[in-house]
Parts: sequence; structure tokens; C-alpha cells
Amino acid sequence: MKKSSDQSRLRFSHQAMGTTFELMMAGEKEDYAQQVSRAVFDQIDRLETLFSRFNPCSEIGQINKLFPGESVRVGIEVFECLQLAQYIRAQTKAAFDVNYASGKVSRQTPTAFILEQVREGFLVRIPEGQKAGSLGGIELDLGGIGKGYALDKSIEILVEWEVKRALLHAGTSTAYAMGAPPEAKQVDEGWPVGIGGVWKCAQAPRKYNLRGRALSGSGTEVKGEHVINPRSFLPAKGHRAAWVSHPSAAVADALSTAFMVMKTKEVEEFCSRFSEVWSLVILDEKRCKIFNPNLAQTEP
Amino acid sequence: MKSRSDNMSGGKWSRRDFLRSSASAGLGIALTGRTLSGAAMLPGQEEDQNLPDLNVAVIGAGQQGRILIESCLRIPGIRMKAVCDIWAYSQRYASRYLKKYGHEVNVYEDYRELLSKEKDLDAAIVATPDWMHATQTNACLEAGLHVYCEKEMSNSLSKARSMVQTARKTGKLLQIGHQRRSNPRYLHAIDRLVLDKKILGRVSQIYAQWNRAKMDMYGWPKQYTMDQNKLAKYGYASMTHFRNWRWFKKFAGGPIVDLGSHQIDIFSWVLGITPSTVVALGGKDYYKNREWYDNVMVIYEFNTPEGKARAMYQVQTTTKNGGFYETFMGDMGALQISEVPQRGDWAMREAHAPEWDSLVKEGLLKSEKPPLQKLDTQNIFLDVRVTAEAGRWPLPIDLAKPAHQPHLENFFNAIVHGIPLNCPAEVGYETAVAVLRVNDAVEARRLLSFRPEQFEV
Ligand SMILES: NC(=O)c1ccc[n+]([C@@H]2O[C@H](COP(=O)([O-])OP(=O)(O)OC[C@H]3O[C@@H](n4cnc5c(N)ncnc54)[C@H](O)[C@@H]3O)[C@@H](O)[C@H]2O)c1
Repeated sequence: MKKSSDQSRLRFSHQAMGTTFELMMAGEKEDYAQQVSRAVFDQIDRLETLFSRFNPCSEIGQINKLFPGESVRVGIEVFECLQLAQYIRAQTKAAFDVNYASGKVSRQTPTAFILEQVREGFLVRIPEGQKAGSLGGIELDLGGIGKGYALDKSIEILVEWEVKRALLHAGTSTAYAMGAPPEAKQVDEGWPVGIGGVWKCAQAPRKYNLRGRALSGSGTEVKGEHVINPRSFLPAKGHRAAWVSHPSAAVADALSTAFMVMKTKEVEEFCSRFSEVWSLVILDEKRCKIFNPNLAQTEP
Repeated sequence: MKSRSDNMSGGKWSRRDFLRSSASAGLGIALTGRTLSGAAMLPGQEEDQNLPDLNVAVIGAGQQGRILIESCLRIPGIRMKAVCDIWAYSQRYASRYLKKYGHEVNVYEDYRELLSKEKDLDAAIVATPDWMHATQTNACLEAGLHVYCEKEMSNSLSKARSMVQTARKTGKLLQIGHQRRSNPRYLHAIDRLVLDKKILGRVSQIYAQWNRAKMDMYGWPKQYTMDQNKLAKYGYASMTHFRNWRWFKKFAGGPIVDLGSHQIDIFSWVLGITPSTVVALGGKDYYKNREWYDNVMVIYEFNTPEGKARAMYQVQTTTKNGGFYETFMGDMGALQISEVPQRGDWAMREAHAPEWDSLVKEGLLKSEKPPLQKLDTQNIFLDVRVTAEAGRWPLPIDLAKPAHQPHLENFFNAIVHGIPLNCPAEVGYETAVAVLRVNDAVEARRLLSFRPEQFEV
């Protein structure tokens, strides 16, 4: 096994989606790891060209130009991502909404959109007969789920390249780990990642051993109050910070945002319905709660 | 350890169920195509082109083949029927991806088998490495198919010539994949503004570049290593050659052909004439174990009816400074355009040029930062500002779809509606003549000239 000093050579980073992705691997040759990282980062770049709302050629850019009664064909990636987003929106009672901005300025209900599987393709349609949101149409922003989705798709590439031990993260806000970390003492060890941020809650673990799952964090610690409550268009007040772990990085990514908005009772109810969702939410300086604790191997 | 799954297990939902419930039956006519005039349709404008289904095969499902497949999947009426690729990785990727969209394709290793077995094809897309284009394209044309063949048409002019001849002989359509030729932004800028409205005046200088950051060679997932016999059967000495064919002389023409040909192709479109001479310097100065020049600087001369024009081009593979774009300069203005609008999407007017405001009124240009101007309403001649912004007049058109889609749409519309191809074999051939000659010029280290008949087949 490589020494940890050698490990830096199996660590690759890449700018995309407005953040820095990083891939660490263990037990691979340097050349091979380098090629793997290229395949992974190419995939992330490809998804960025589909997802970017700043690029009018991207699929999200195209959807954002639609008016009621119009539709556009999209690829399976955008379709899957939106489908998951809409499902999570429904399950969180709109605490998570990739389309909230379309109603933001005038505080109207966001413009509705429909996902349809048509013959040999996928379609996004804005139904007729509704008043379009304040910006004139729809205003999708995959910022709260796209990076997680990109991690999920990257894991597929790692599997294809038969990489068994890796940690991949998107700007540290969402991470996924597989296999054992470098210098693991036991075969079933996970990659230790920090958790809990600046908060001093006694029950909160400081370390999460990540393996076969994703972990995503959201909080007011960085960038100020950046999560907006789509129900009120005001800054989220549900929690000071939230961490969510789930086998899918896209789900973890979206839920960590939703849990910032949702009240603790709502999160509790949600986690009782979805037994695969582990979560830590920070209520205030001293109080926090953990749901489905048995799913995670954490350390104080 | 919990296994990864698509669904949020514990809940009642699975992704597949959700798909089923949201899928509405019987739809399939919503179109976001392109009008036949060449203008892009805005997304959402639905147009029933009554395109009958076209059955399409893809030969070469690597990176570019997949991009073309993705675009085809956004064009209603296109049915993907077969995929040919010698590499299991590409076969699997493409067939699985297509299956998700409901296209069940037959997969082949050998294009000849594909052609003998698939009997209801209308067209083939050829996206293999350059050196295979001629053989495969000719076979498809001979089998009665229309062909969309990726650039570079071929790595040898005699092979490229055979493609033009076969297209003529069979009467089938052959579109070469210089996709800027169908890009509505390029069509508007060049056909409308430069050629029709002549906003640049006399164009006598061109500058273009494609600078790309340093890159390692491509690798491959271990489990998809092809054995030596199979590699040899298809002409590749090693997996490294197979994956990095663009850098080796047997298969391709190196970066100047790979990247440069897209942009050098546009020079003749704007000037309306093929070049008369070329001089170039370049070398294998950075990468070891690669055969082609990793940097090239070229100057072409054109004898236009209005006089000499010169075009300077560079391709760099160790810096991405400036990225890729093309600039056309005339005595009345300049146009900077790029396939990525951030790099070029505007015209610049010379101070003495006729006013462009009427173009703005007609919707042919946008005026972003109006330069100093007389204000009629107030009794002053100028609004004096700290610095007058150099006027950048943005193009008024967005391409709201992937870059290759309009070129494929042009090809399919040509098949169905008989409209002209935007890059027929003859045009692709002219570009191949101009571009492949750069490598000769680098080697010769002197000025080389073209005879007009060299561009003809
Ligand atoms: N228009 C554009 O913007 C653009 C961009 C990139 C590439 N291209 C062109 O597309 C073509 C393919 O390039 P790429 O980047 O996809 O390369 P690639 O190496 O990723 O893909 C080539 C594919 O062809 C397959 N192949 C090789 N020999 C074959 C054979 N004899 N029969 C069948 N399949 C074979 C390979 O297995 C591979 O899957 C090239 O001509 C290239 O110049 C065009």
C-alpha cells in the first residue's frame, strides 16, 4: 500500500459547476488513476454543459426560455434530475424546489412544468392556461441537486474503471466514498470525513466514516444565509445547518438543502418514512438532532 | 453495507414507477426542429415537419459518435437502428444509452456485416477515426445510404476524392461534419451580415485560433483492453494508438487537422474563394511519444476579386489561452465569432463606417453599448463620458440546442425535403485540401502554392 505522502499523487481536482471537484483514490497505479480522473472529469463537464443555466445552449437554458404551451426535448440526464427534484419537492412539501425562482420576484406560485416520456425521448412541457411566473416563464436552477447527480454519474464511471476505493466530492458540500481509505486497518473501514461544522452540540458526531453512501452538508456557516425557503421566498429558518447521508449523492444533496428549510418535526417525520435517509440537523448553538442514526458509522 | 439503489428505499417510490406514471402515451409529435430556411427555431416553437421516420445507423460510437447520437435523440422522427464499433466499451455505452430512450439497436463489430444485415436503413453516420472514413463512407453510399461523415473527411486526399466520386456516382447525399456551416449564429453572421449586408466592407485579414490546455493521452478501463490480435486486425498497433489515434500519422493529421479544419473551413466561406498559398511553422516540441506537431502557426493567402486577403491561424495544445474563435477583419468593421458565444458573438464597427443603427432596427444586430452619439432631445452634440466604450454589437441569435444538432437536421431535411446540404462532399474536400497542406508546409519550411484545380474533383 502507498504511504500517505504518495497518496497526494492519487488526488485530482477539477473546476466545474462553479466549484472544485476532487477525486481521491487508493490502491491504484498513478497512471491509471490519472486516466480515471480524466474520464470522471470529462463526464462532469458534459453534465455541466447540459445543466448550466448561464448557457443558453444548455438544456436547462433551453427550458428556461419556454413559455406556457411550449415544450422542448431533453436528454435523459436532465430528465432524471428534474424527475428526482420534483419527487423530492412533493415529498418535502416544496421545501426543495428547483423552480422556486420563477415565482420569486412577485411571490407568485412558481410556473408549473410537466415531464413527459414521449415516443423515443423525453420532453419538458409548460402547460398552457397558467399565469407564467414573475420572470415570464420558468426559471430552473439545478444548483441544489446537479452536483450530487454529477457525483452519482461519476461513481458509475469509477465502477466501469474498476476503481474500488475512492472518495469524490463537489466543493466539499457533497461527498461520496466507496471501499476502504488509504492505510485502512480493517477491510470494512470507511473514509473519515468531518461533520458538524462550528456547532458545539454534544450529541453531534465530529467524524463520519463514509462508505457506499453520499454525505451532503448545508448550512449558514459559509456564504451567509444562502438557502432560500421556496415556500416563503425568505431565507431558510428551519435549521442552522443540516447533513444528510443517502446512497444517492443527488438525493443527499437535495435533502440537505430541504432540511435547512423544514422544521425539525417535519424532518423527523420525513426520516421516519424514508429509512435510508440519515440526518443531523443543528437547531441552535447547543441543540442538534440525529435521525436514523443506525445507518451511519460515526465517531465523536 | 447497504447497496446503492436508484430509489429511496423505505419509501413507496421507485424511479421506474415514477417514469411510468408521468409518461403520457401517444405523444411524439412535439417538434423543436429547424425551419427549412436555415433559421433556428426557438425552443418550444412547435413545428410539424411531417418528417417520416428515418432509420439511421452509427458507425463509430466513440466520443463524437455519442454526441451525434445525443443530438439525433432530440430530433423527432429519427430512429436509431444499428450501431457498429470494434470496441466493446463503445458498443455497450451506445446501445445502453439508446435503450433508455426506447431505441433497440442491433450491434455490430464490422460495418460490412451491418450493411449486409440491416436492410431498411436510410442513412449512416460515420464517426470513426479519420483514416477509416473513406472506406466506410464509400461502402455505405454504395449500399444505398445517405451519409453524414465526420470531419476530417479523410487523412489522405486521394481517399477524400474517392468519397466525392462515390457520392456523385451513387447519387446519395454526403454531408461532412463541419457543423459551423449549419449553426444559425454563423449563418446569420456570415450569410446575412458579412456577405449580404457587407457590414465589414472589404475583408482582408482573418485571425483564428484553437488553444487547448495540456492533456495527457487517453486511457481505457482495464476490463475493456482489446487483445493484440483484435487490435492488429483493425490496424492499431496498441491500445495507446487506438485511443489516441489523432496523434499518429497513420490515422489522422494531428491538431491542425483535428481542430484547425473547423475554423479554416470558414475562411473560404467568408472570402468566397479557396487559398492560393500557405506557409506554416510548427513542431513536435512538447509531447514525447506522439507523432504529430503539437503546435502550428499558419498563414494563408487568398486572391479575392477585391485583392489579397491573408489569414493567420494557430493551434496550441499546451495552453488554453484565449480558447477558440475566429475574427474576420474588414475596412468597415470586424466580426468575432466562436462556437462558444462567450468567446465570440459580436461585430465591431470602425468609426468611419456607415451607421449600423438601421441593422439594429431590422433586428440583424444588437447594440450593447452605444458609442458616443448626438442626443437630439437635449441641445447638445455629445454626451461626454469618461471613456467611450468601444461598440460591441452582439449577434441577435442564440443557438438554443447542442452545436451539432442543426447540421444533422440539415442532413435529415436534405434527405426528406431535398433542401441543399450545408457541407456537401465538395465543400468538405476543399477544406481537406487547404488543411492537409499545412502539414506539408510545416515539413517543407517554405511557401507552398495551390492551383485552383487542386480543389476540384
Ligand atoms: N465535429 C466535431 O466537432 C468533432 C469533434 C470530435 C471528433 N470529431 C470527429 O469524429 C471522429 C471520431 O472522433 P472521436 O473523438 O469520437 O474518437 P474516439 O476515439 O472517441 O471514437 C472513435 C470510435 O471509433 C471506433 N472505431 C475505430 N476503428 C473502427 C472501425 N474500423 N470500425 C468501427 N469502429 C471503429 C472506436 O472503437 C471508437 O469507439 C473523428 O473523425 C473526429 O475527427 C468531430
